[in-house]
Amino acid sequence: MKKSLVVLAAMVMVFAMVSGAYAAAQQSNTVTVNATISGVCSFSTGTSTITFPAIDPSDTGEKTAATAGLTYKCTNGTTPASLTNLAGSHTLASTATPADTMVYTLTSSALTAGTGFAAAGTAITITAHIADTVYQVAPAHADYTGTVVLTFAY
Amino acid sequence: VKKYLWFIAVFVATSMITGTAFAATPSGFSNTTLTVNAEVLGMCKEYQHGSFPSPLTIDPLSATDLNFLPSADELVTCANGTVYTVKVSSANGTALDQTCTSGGVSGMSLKSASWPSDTVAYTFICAGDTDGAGHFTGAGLITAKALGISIRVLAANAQTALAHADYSDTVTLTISY
Repeated sequence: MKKSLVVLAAMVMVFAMVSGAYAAAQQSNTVTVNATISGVCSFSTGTSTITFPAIDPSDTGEKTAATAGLTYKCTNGTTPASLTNLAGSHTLASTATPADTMVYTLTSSALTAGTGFAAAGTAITITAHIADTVYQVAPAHADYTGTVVLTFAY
Repeated sequence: VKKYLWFIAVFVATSMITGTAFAATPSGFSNTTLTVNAEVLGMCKEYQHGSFPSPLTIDPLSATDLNFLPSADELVTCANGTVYTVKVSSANGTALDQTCTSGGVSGMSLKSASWPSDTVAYTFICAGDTDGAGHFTGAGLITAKALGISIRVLAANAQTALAHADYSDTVTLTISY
């Protein structure tokens, strides 16, 4: 009987000491979590195409053709500032006769704020323009082509 | 030591999360490569109808060939660089879709309306061909090119022609390109 009591007393002491040790080492720490949502925009596709209907060089007036189905997404509330490489003159060249070229320009529909990447994309229309003074003197070819890399700036 | 390591671990974890987020959404740019294709048709159009003075006066006493210039040259516009030929047919002669050159097309004939058996042979000339073989080159639809048409009656044919005031022929020009 005595032995048993001694063991219990020892256990109580051990628990008390261990408990005391925890109480003595306990501290608090405040963790601050910061996050940034980047304002980004991206096109729905990495490539898009504008194909002009066959141009009659005896016509008058500017010829235009536009993209179809091109969209982009932006972070909710982010509006692309501009499309780089859109402005200025661009060149179409005949694949078979590269010296034969036509100058054209590009315009885009208005850039509006995105609604997030879970939402449907925002439609954007890129329109190519060829002046009559250009195509009226252009050599006849079926293979005029050119590429422009359009980049969102935001 | 334990606490120190714990904060290091949190810092490393945070850095990795942040780094991953930037890699997934790189700020700055998004590209699309826009390809633009176009075709310009090869095309020719009559810009000015050609005509000759009426009547052409053929002098049967002429010792030299008679050359008659048009009152209005035939003018054609074609897409820049388009090579084309001009085919000539004579309503009263045998020429049918003959290529018109600076050397001229034979088989042309003036015929008297009152005496259809009386004819005068002539040559129809297109002096504006680029190479003497009947090839013309377009300079764009806004730049008309003259075919340089003319009529030549050989002195020998003029000298043997019967006198009539009603010789005529209808010439059809066809642009082929």
